[in-house]
Amino acid sequence: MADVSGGGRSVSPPEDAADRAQLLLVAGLVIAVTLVVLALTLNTVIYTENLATRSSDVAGGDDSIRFLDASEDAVAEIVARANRDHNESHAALRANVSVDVDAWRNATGRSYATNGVVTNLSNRGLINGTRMLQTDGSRKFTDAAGTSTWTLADDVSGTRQFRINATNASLANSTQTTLESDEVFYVQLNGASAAWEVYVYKDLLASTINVTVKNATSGVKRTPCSTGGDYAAVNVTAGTVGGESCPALSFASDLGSSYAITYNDTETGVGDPTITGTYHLIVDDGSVARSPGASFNDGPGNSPWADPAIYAVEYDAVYETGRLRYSASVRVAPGETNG
Amino acid sequence: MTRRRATEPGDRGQAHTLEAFTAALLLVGSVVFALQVTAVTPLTASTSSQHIENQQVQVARGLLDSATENGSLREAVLDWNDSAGSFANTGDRGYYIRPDRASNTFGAMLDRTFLDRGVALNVNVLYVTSGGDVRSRRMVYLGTPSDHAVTASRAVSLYDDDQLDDGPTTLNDSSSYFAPDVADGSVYNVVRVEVVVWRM
Repeated sequence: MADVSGGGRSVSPPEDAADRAQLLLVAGLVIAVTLVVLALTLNTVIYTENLATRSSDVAGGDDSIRFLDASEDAVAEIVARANRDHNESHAALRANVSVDVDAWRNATGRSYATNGVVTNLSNRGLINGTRMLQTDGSRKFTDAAGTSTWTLADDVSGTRQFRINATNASLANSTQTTLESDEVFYVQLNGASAAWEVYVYKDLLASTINVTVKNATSGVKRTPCSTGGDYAAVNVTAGTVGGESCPALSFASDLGSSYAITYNDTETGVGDPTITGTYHLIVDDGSVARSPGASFNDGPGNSPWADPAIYAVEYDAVYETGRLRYSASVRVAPGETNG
Repeated sequence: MTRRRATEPGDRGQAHTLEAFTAALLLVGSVVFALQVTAVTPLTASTSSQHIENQQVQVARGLLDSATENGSLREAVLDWNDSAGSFANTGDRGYYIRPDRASNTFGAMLDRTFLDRGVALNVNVLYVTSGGDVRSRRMVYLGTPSDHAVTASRAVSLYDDDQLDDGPTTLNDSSSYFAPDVADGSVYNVVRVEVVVWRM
């Protein structure tokens, strides 16, 4: 400035220096404040990113669900294994299942404890049932005494894994409109408020194996499900025909808390079969196995026979970490519908 | 006065040069400083990124879930050579040095999911001993995991009559299976398959 102020004497240098000092001071302050603000902003950005990239599952809830899954799978497998053996009594069966569930609980409890997780299963109850089955594929669906129309179980509130595997060649021919007049095999599920009939037959027109579900109270028939091949696998509780979904079979919720399962017209008037094959079902009524009567044979392999079975297991599962306590009441009844 | 004026521009020239050098140094210094002070945030790409860890643990969990569903996890745990006393095809080591050496579906799944993408992994099988301790058995071992490794595990229930891979031997009849029978009933043991994953 002194240089551009002309050739004369410099204009009051002391005043000029004072101006600059103030300017420097202000500039210094502004820079300092800017730096502090920048530092704060950067910090906030870092912390936000930190939060944003944290797993949403901070407490480990995912693993608790996986433990629950594993326990359901294991209990279902334990029950299936116990039921598969030919058991003499429900008491023996209950003891076997309890021992196995305890063993599973102990093993997983110790294993999870090494990761600082407390797990537990506590048994709330086992529900007795009866497993009814026919394994002789060439046999008619008559009862042990050869009766054509017979009741498998009365007063049941739940059925699971109800599978029928019918041989194509043995099925009666019919069409959906003439089901009642033709002698066609059907399963009747007769409840207090509703009754449903499941017809299994060979369709005359399409030459497929058809399954027609009829509401016996209203008389309305649902659209049939069909399958081809030498055998027809009908899973009544899972609602599948030939492995494919059959919406017509979803009627279990109508049946209420007490119904009877009846096989009708398993043979024609002259004794020819309307169906042959195998079937399997478990009902939540233990009394069938205890007093099989004339309908079922005694002992395995002699179709049809009834065994004591566990219908369902109810237990409480607990999964606890330092940050999470998860407990759930679980009911395991594989292949059960709502009925 | 004239002498002074004559010498003054020379002095200032030196000062200007010095100033220019200082300014240049300052500029270069600022650039260097700015490059060095870039903060390492959780999103900064590196092998220890939190994002990648989250991703890897979810992938490992998903893999274990699907392996449980399709039965290949159980198959891998039972892929045991009873006469050699080790997992099948592992040789003297007793564990696989690459997951694809295990000729089972689980090994192929691990290989495709992780190793193909430059992610290393170990698989340990945790089991309960008769005394109630928990031991670990190596199934796949690629090396010591780094500090930012993540783990995921899944329980597999074994039963007395489960078939081992190498023939008619069941777990109950096996003479060399690593996990003992810890229960009286049909349950044999419950093992946990633990997958440890880290970026190479």
